[in-house]
Formats: sequence, C-alpha cells, structure tokens
Amino acid sequence: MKTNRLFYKFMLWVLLIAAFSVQALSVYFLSLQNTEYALAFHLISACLFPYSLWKLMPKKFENEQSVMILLWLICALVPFISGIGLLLCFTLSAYFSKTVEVDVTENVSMETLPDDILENLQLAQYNGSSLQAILDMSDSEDSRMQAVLKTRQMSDQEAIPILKRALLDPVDEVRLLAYSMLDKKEKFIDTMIRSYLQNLGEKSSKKDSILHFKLAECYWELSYLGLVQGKAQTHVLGNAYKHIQATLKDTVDNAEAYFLQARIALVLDLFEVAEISLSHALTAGMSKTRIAPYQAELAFMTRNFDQISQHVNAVDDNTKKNAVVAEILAQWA
Amino acid sequence: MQADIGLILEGTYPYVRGGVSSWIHQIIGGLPEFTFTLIFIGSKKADYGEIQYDMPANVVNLSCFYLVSESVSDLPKARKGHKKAFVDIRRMYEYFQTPEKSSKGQAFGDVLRHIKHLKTLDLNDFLYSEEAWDFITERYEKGTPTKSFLDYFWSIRAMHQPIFALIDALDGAPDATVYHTISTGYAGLFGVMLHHLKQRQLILTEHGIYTKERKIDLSQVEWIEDSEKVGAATLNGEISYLRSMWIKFFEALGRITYDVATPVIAISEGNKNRQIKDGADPDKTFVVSNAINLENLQPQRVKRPETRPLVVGFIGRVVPIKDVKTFIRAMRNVCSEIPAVEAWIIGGEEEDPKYAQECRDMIASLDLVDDMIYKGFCNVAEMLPKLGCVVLSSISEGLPLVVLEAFACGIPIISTDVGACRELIEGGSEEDKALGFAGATVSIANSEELANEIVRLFNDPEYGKRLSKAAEQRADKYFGEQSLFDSYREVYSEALER
Repeated sequence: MKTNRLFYKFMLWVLLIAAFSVQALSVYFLSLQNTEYALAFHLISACLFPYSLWKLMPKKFENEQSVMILLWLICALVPFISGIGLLLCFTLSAYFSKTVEVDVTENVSMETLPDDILENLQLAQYNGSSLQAILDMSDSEDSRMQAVLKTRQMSDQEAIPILKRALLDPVDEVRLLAYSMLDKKEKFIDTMIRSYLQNLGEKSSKKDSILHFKLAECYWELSYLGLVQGKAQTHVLGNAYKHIQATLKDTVDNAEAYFLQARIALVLDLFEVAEISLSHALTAGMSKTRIAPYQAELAFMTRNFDQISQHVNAVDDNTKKNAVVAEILAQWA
Repeated sequence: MQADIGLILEGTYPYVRGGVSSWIHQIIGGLPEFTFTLIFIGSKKADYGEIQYDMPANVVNLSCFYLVSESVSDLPKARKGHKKAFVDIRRMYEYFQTPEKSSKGQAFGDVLRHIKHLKTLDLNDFLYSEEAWDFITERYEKGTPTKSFLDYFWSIRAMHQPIFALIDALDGAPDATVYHTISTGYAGLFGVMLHHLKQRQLILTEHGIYTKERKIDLSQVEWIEDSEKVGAATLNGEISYLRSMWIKFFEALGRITYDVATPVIAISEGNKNRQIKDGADPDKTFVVSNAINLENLQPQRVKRPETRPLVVGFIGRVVPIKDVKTFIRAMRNVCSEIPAVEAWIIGGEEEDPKYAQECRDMIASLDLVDDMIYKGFCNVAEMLPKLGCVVLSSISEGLPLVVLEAFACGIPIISTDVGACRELIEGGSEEDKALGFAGATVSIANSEELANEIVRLFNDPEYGKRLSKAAEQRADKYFGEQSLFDSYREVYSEALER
C-alpha cells in the first residue's frame, strides 16, 4: 500500500517534469513561428502542470477543485498576461518617458585656503613689545583681549610682564582674563610645590635631595617670573635658598644646584655665597659661557667694575648677537 | 496660592550665602506687603546643601529645578522633525546674530510655542531628527567649515540640553503675578519663558554682569582646551571657535533677557552702562543702589575703640573670585612691616574646599599661621568694631554690601578697583565726592599695592580718621535701606497694576 503511494507520487513528479518539457517544446515551436503547435503544446502543458501540482499538494486541497481551476488559469494565461504587461511597459515608456540628460561632469567648488589661517600667521608674528604696545595704545577692547590671549604662545618669562600690564586695563574682561591666566601659571607651580612637599621625607635621602632641588626650582620660578612681590617675594626666595642648601648637603658635584644657589644668592644680596657657588658650578663641569653673565652681574653688584668686561666677553657667540647683549658688550668692552 | 512676585534665582538664595543672597533676603524681609515665591535654578541637586536662611513669612513657596538631568534618556529613534518648527528655530538664530533686525524676543517666543503649545518640537527632535541634523550641518558649513565638526556637533548638543531641562521645568513652575529674575543666564531665560507662556511681566535686577563673568570662565576652562589640543585648533592662541561659540550663547541668553525684561535694574552706573552696551534698552534701564539697615549698625559704630585696632578684616566667602591669595600675600608684607597686625578671615570655606585648602597652605608656607585667623561665618555687625580696616581683594564685584556695612561702622575699605567699589570709596556724584575718600582702591592681584595701603592706614592715624569720617558720612547720606525698599515697592506696585 505504502509502495503504491510512493510510486503514485513519483509518477506525479514525472508528470510535472513532463509538463515543463512540453512547455519547452511550445517555446521551441513559437521560435519557429509555428503558432498552432506552440499553442497546442502550451495547452497540454497547462493541463499537465496544474493537475500534477494539485495532486502533490497537501490532502486538505484534495477536494478543492477551485484550486485546480486557479492553477490551470494561471498556467494557461501567464504568457498572454505577461505579453500584455510587456507591451504596456514598452509602449508607455517609449511614448511617455522623460528625457534625462546625464551629465557626467560634476561642479565642484574650489576651496580657498582658510582666511583665518593667513590672518593667524600674521598675528602670530607679534612679539612681546608689540603686544605691550597694543595693550598700551589700542582703543579696541577686542584687540587688547586678543593681545592677552596671544601670550599663551609665549614663554612664561615673556608673557608675565604683558599679563601684569593687562591687569591695569580699564576693561573688566581684559583684566580678568589676564588675572586668570596669571593665576593658572601660579597655580601650576603651587601644585608642584605641594606635591613635592608631600613626598619629602617619605623617600630615601637621595630622592629627598632631588625633591629639595625641585622645590628650590619652583620657589625660584615664583620669584623669577614675578608672580610674587615685596616681602612675599623675599620669603619665597628664602624658601628657595633653604631647599637648595638642603640639596647641596648631600651632593657635592651638582653643577646645576650650585648654579641655582648662585642665582638665588645674587637676588638675596648674598654675594659671597654667589661667588663661591658660581666657582663650584664651574668646578663641577658647567661651561664658562653659561656662568659668565652671572659673574659679570656679581662683579657689578660688588663694584668690581674692572672684571666685568672679562666676564662679558666670555659669553657665547650666539648670545653676543642679541641686540641688548651687544649693547652691554660695547659698553663694557 | 498665587504669589505676587516670583523670584528666579540661579545658584544663589536660599542655598548659597553671599552678597546677592543677603540682598534678596533683605528685599523679601523689607517688603512684607508682597508675597514671594522662590524659583531656584541650580546645576544639579548634589551641588547644594541645606537652606541657609530663615524663610521670611511672606515667602509662600520654594521650587527647585536643576539643569543637569540625572535621568537616562530614551534610546535614539530616527524621526523627521517638524519643518515649520525648524524654520522658527532658524529665525531665532538669526535674531541671536543680528538682534537689531528682528522683533524683540518674538523669535524665541515662537520656538517656545512649538514646544509647549503645538507640541511640534521636543528634545528628541533636537537630538535625533533629520531637520535638526540639516540645521546643525547647515550652520556648521556657514560658520566654521574649517574646524572640527565633531567638536561643533557635541558642543551644540551640550549647549542646548539645559534649555530643554528648563522647558521641562516650566510645567512645575509656580504661578506668580510678576516674575523677577536676579540675573540673566539660565534664570533670565527661564523668566523669558514664563513671560511668553504666562504673559507675565519680567523684571531683571543684575548684581554682577552674568555674561561678563561667563566670558572670563569660558576663556580659561580646561575642558574646552583639552578638545582643542587634539586638533591644534588655534595657531596663535586666539579665542577659539568653541569658546567663542559658548560665549555667544551666553551673550544671546543675556540679550534675550534684556529684550523682554522691563525694567532692567543695575546696582551701579558702571553696570548700567555695561547692560546698555550689551543690548538693554536705555529707556527702561536704571540704577537702584544696594543699601543697608543703618539703625541696626549704629550701636556698632559707637563700640568702635578710639585707637584703631591692628586687625585687618577680610569679609567674604573663601572662593577664587575673592582672590584671597592676594590678600594673604599682602599680609606677608604687612606683617613684616608691622608685626603686631593680625588678619581675620570672616567667611565660610565650604563652597570651594580645594581653594580654601590652597589658601591655608599658602598661609603656612608664608609663615602667617599665627597672624591670620579664620573666624568662619560670624555676625559681621559684631565683628566690625573690632577691625581696623576691611580689605576686599576680589577680582570681580557688583556693589558689595560689606563695604556699606563697614562704612556704616566707620571702617575704611581697602579694595581692588572692581565693580562699584571705586564709586563707593571715592564718591559717585560731585556732592558725594566732596565727602572725601572712605578708603583706597588698588589694582587687582597686586599684593604689594594692597599691603602699602594697609600699612599707610595703620601708620598714619590722622589719615585713618579722615577715611573713617568720610565712610560714616557716606553711609548715612546715601545707603539707608529705606530708599532701596521704596524703589522696589514702586517697581513691584507698577508691575502688579498692569
């Protein structure tokens, strides 16, 4: 029984494939313009295909003859419906389509170089004195504001005098901007000081020596950059001196530490200490050209004017080219 | 119960102490015939602690709104966006850029109508709609096509989100017959929204100039700097486009408030001129000076000893804007010159603990621990007779009440030349100037100049006496609080009658 059913299904599949083959014959005769044969084969195929398909469908469609009729109609009429569709498609597109001109070129606007970059390059050439002049003489609040902002690109040493000048500006914004920029610089050094102080004593004595040196540098920076004034400056220099002495307690060959001690001592009017420190720095390996300007300063402060020209002449060649230095050289030659 | 006046307060009374808060407390207490509802706008809830003042009986309500939302927004969804709403948004931006060409404040009102009445615009439209994208890219192309679009895009988003937070807050805003904002900025904007939606008059009183203060903050904030470093956006340190975008945003908030508010009140001539320069109509802008209760301070004046106490007082919060560090440095100089001088810091440290600690570290590093004494929050009136002078080292001020209080007790002020301080110390009108100097002004962040003035005052008793006399006379003549109450009584009454 089961075998019979399988054989029956197999035959239906054969019939389905036969329907395809008959349809292929129909197309073949159509290509030979033998329409009678083509139509006859198409009708045979249109009967075989729906019948075999209907019989292969699930059982619930077994008694649904309408399914068979629908399948037959689709198979029989597809070539005609498709034909009409193709006809409509081509006719309509031929008569009613819009002509589209395809432009293969595209307009691309030519980007110019950004104007502001050129302007910025021009403005970037301002140096300290011209910014100072803008602050002193410009009536435009914006220009003065820009002058303050431009100090961001300068070294602290150059920027701080300009910012201090801007603290006297009549306009609040300019003053406050200069203040906040100065404050930022000071805060940075203060933060370093706090962090070094916190670490002091926690590490080995060698590490402490480094921390003392860094602290001396920070306090020196505060004073050298003019971020503190008056007695507060003296106090800060006192701190710098205390820490550089602590550094030198543990090291005897630190040329940089001796050099810093000499500079601090010069400002604190401790000329003897300055002289000894400069000489130690020289012994520890620092070049004469670096020390020479401070030796000249020391000679001036201690009224040993005859030694000044000797020290000034020892300044390196590059520094000698500087206009201000050249003037000093000429004065003391 | 609908209050007469809705006071809109950004980051100040009743949660934060300070000059502006004291002024608000004074106004509410001095005008008991009006009822007040307080609308507090803060950054986020966690930034504020307990209420710092005893609420006067005529305060009927306090509502708090925060700009930074702590809730998580919905997942993004694609949306078209309403065309007409974005046409109005474009118009609003044109108004921000060229306010003289547009009807005053109307463009903002139209956008608000889309959000609140027509419901054709909401935060999601702004964040995710095609119209918003077109709008943002179009403005980017127009304005800054050579800069980073990513920075631009996220800045625009960050800038506008607090506005939508305020719009959300509108539903819970208490009703009042008239609204009075104590600054421009977000408080001013909220006032403008309430004006448009509820058709209420908006009054503006500005103590400092909000836009100016934001401009300074924004020129220095690190979070903008960081993003710029990546793209090396600035060649020569000029104010960058992101900073300038934020500055323009706050300028626009200021302008919109000046346009809508009537009247615009300044606390000094200098501030009034600045408001007019920033867009306030000169015809509706006038000055109402701060004032104090002279009767309460009279007994303190009598308590002042014959010989000037060698005590320098710093009265104020320990925050960066007061530049306490310059005061500390100046005290290093003063104490070296006159070792017997002490400095008292009278004010709270809790607002900026980091800065307060930096100040304490500086005191220690300058060996001033025994010379500078922290008094914390105290009754200022009781402290004043014990001081030889009061120092104000601020980098920005309006018209500080502490100057008036010190004057009322005959204490000279050594102040930085900020806000109305010079006007107060040297006199405003010719008649006022004839009274003489009641202290000295110095440039900001100049500890040496400040120290020199303090030393001069202590070293020259006759000079000190002259200053004290002028201080008392100036306070008696110009700073009695009755004139302040009369002015605001008139402003409120006129507004309520409309």
